Amino acid sequence: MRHRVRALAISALAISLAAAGCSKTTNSDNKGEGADSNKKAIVVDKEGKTPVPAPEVEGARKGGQLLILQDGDFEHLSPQQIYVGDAINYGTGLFHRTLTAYKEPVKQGDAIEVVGDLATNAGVTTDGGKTWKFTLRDGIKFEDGSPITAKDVVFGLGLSYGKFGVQGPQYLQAAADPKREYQGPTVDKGKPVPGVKAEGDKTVVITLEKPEQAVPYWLTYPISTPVQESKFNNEKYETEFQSSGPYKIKEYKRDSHLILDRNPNWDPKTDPIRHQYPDTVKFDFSVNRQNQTQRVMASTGEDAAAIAVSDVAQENLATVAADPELEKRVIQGATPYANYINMNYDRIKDVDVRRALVFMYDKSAAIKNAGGNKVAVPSTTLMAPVVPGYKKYDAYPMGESGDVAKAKQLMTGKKVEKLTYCFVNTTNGQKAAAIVKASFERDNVFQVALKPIDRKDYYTTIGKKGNDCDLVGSGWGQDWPDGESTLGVLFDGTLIKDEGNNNYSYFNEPSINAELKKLREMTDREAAAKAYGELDEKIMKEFVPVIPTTYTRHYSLIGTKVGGAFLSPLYSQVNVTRIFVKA
Amino acid sequence: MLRYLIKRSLIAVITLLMISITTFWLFFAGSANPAAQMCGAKACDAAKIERINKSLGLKDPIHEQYGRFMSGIFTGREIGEGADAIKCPAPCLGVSFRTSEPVLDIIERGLPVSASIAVGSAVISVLLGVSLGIASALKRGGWLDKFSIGFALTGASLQIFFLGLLLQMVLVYQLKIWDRPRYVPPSEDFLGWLSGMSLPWVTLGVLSAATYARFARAEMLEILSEDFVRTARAKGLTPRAVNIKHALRASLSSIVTIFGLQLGGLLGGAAITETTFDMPGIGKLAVKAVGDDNLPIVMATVLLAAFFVVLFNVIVDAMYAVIDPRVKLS
Repeated sequence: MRHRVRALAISALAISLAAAGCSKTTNSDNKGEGADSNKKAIVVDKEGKTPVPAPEVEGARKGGQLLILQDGDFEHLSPQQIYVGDAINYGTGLFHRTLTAYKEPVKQGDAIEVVGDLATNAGVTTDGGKTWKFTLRDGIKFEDGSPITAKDVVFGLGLSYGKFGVQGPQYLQAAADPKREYQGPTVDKGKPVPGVKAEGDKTVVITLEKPEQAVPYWLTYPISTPVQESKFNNEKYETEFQSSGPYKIKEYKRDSHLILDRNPNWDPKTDPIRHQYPDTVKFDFSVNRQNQTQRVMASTGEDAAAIAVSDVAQENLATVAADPELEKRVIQGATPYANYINMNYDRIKDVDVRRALVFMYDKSAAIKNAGGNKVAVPSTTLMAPVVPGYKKYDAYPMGESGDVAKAKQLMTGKKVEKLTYCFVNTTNGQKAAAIVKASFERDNVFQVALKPIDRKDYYTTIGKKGNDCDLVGSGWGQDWPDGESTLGVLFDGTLIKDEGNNNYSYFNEPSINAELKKLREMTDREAAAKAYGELDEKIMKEFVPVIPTTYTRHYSLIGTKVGGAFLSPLYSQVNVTRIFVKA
Repeated sequence: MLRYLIKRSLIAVITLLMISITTFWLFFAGSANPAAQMCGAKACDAAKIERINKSLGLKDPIHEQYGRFMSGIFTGREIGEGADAIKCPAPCLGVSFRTSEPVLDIIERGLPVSASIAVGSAVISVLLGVSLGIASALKRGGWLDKFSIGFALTGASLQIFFLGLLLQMVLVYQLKIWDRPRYVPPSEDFLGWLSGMSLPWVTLGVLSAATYARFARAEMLEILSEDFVRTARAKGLTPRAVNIKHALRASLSSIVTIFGLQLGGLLGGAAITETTFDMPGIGKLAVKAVGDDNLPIVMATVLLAAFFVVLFNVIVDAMYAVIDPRVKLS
């Protein structure tokens, strides 16, 4: 999933208050964010037991207008093109239903549920994951009243293979059509969609060459949103899409606003997740981060029922955090984003040197640089706290600015050449580099050479096997809630290729590779989740391919009249499926 | 006169052409990588980059891409291949890399916003600045003159992103006595337009008024000491007639120059003002496009801004002849 790029902010007032985060950075912020070891890590509803309609939200009322303040329009709302977190969150929450969906926990730390959305359950496989069968619910309709059939789902999935899905996620398409020959139904008219077919009006069958346990997860992306062939009008579908969810377009003026009103053809009895409390939902696309914060802080007029999409502006973080009345209206918590410094496994071969580097890194400086402990907290694990099976452990206990004495002890009698830290040559990259250099060069334990890389070439360079970077910073957010989407992507040495790697430490340990293969193939993902948590700890204790630096936190404001809001752990946005406007 | 205008227009066209080549070339020479940007902060697999590049038409040599872009402006073109191609009639500025929307549509949405800012603030700055400048020249050394000089100095040193944010914070969000800056089309809600535009107008207007005040004062003082003014006075004309009819008219040419250049610059998008006040005009669009590596929008906004600057240069030159009888265009 893509993280929305924060718009360039011109802020003269930000200077003095930016340092606000330096006062206190403790681990207490982390409480409630890790999964309790007795709870289920993830629930996959194979039997279709999730109740429909979704149980009423306590205290909710119908009526009112929900206002969503956003800096810039969505890049895409044509379902198969959606890949940015906020578009997935608002799109699937309000108008694009999918075959399967996540029912996100209202209480942070509770298990995420994978449930059937348009389908009656999260998918059934009888051959270990090669064939997946989805049966559509009765009574599901598009906004024009026509019933949603398996054919519409297949047409939508077909679009995701071609030009009208090129910017969306490509997991299913790559698994079903490894050579990527199929160009979508608008070009390859009449040809079957690889791996996808409709059986009658009610059944969608996915067939892959190799078993894939992630299929129910992949289909939660709006690639599986149904599209009627007769209504699909290419680029125009971005602003004229047919809704299958509780709201539909009333007025869409690109870059200005999008107003949604109730979709009369959405039947709550077919939907296990969504509600339809507000009369209208209005997106205002011309509100930058500072103004979002100011308006929702004031919370007057229509802004009382507003959600700020961006995090609280940096210059207001201290004010908001210090005011208990305002902090009550903050939606905050863990996100899928974790940050690391990768240590090249082929270049820094001594595990104790890698451990020493872990002890040398000054996490408190990184947190201060990120904007304080409301938006970043120190990390110790590979998986972010929202990843199912996340196990909270600290293999290398130390203070927040590191433990130079421990590092020195580990380095006794060892000599290490000057290390090269590669970074993207942007303002943020330069700041991060300064922290790395200052951290590692304390007491002359290490010497660091900084190597800036042009933005254009950054990922190509660090993704090339055999590059000359010893240390490289990176961030990661899972694409679906499963340890496979973090550990399986970042730490499986068998995936290392010549170019385009995500495994920036080039970590390659046969025992870990074998374990990851085993976990990948497990059909019981609930059991696999716990095993990923254990594996995370094992990698860090025994091999240390990266320095975990920070977990990114979410910290945004809602107005005084917004009810039913909670943090989406998957998209780091306010979940709007239970939202209502208070009287 | 006509020959002069034709010559100037030709030079203007060549200037625009040069600007378009430079922008196109700079985009690819610089650190732009649109396909990788669309993948976000992850290494994209080569296949996906390839697919995106293909869909954006970025795989061809730069000169071919440039040729396609330029010919599209005059003849229109088809973007993409086969059944999925988008028809883009002339004047075609391409489609946005990010949203596949025709750039012309995007520009058309932003232009009224930028035009509103430009015209409103230009009117305020000219009226305020010129009257202040003239008044202080006539009362040289008086309190108004001192105030005017102080104002000009302050205005020239303050920046819109400082004053604009400060005014917004205090007047809009803390004291709540000024309407929040926003754009609504005047055809839909005229009062709402006035009220939503007022803070950007006043901020930008007052800041640019400082320049006018400075120039108007200096120019007036110089003219007032010239012989023809003394002659006019000696002829027994009223001070009013001397100051307005003779001195002011003669000092207008420099003011018209600044006015034309300012308006031309603002019509092409006031990037900082629009970003400060969150106005979805051409300037904000350009800033975002640069950050997104969105070449067609970068090209369109740069060309538009250049077009307005060049156009107003020609207009200003032509105006000289009208304002000042001593000037002959040739």
